[in-house]
Amino acid sequence: MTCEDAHLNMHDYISGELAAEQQKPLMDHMDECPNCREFFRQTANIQTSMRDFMQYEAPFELQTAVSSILANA
Amino acid sequence: MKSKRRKIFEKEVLCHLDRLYGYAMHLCKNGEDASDLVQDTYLNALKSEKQYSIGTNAGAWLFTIMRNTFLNRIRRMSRKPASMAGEWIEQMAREDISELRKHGPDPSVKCLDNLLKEDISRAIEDLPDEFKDTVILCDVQGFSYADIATILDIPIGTVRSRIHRGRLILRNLLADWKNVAMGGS
Ligand SMILES: [Zn+2]
Repeated sequence: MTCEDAHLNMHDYISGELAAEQQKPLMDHMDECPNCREFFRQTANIQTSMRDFMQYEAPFELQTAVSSILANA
Repeated sequence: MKSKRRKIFEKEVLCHLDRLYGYAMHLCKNGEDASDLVQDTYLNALKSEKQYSIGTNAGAWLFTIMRNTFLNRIRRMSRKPASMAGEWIEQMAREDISELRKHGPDPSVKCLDNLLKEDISRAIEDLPDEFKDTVILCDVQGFSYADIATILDIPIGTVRSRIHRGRLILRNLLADWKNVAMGGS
């Protein structure tokens, strides 16, 4: 596997879209390639930070409004 | 007396409220408009309730309705979605990809650890809309490529390439600021 292929595959892996049979070749490449390994770690880290930081909770007023929309329909 | 189907329907759509509000915040940029959009989305969902099969993908269905509701609202107000789709940012992604082809991924960019919420929000805001939507739906909301293709009404290959390029742009934006903040060149 080339580094370019590894890069494409690691994005799909992070998205949860990499087919099972393609995961082992990617892991094998990263075991041997410190560049790809570090790039993967950074990319996954950005995704985790995004997911953690961008969570919202609907305000109470909105929860009430939506419940009544559903109840009164 | 509500039908059993109706009760299940309500349960299935209600559990996506927080996610929908999060996506509405990205689209509207303020809480008041976001709350309005969420309510309109539920009203529109009720109108097309029959099109939804119980036990299928309520999340993707609701997000599609929200996006269409938002686009209609913008059209009515006859203003274009605020886009800063600067050609330079596209260019940046293209250059990164050709670099990548030549040399493979370059992890030499440091200081991408301990990212702050402010950094992340600012970087996402700076992404051109088409990348922003795709990256948020994938990385924040956790939708599959197929769901995102449905929600945004674009081919799945486009979803994939926007996610790859969008993440690369994000990474570079973050790295640039961190580098400046750390006094690097
Ligand atoms: Zn490599």
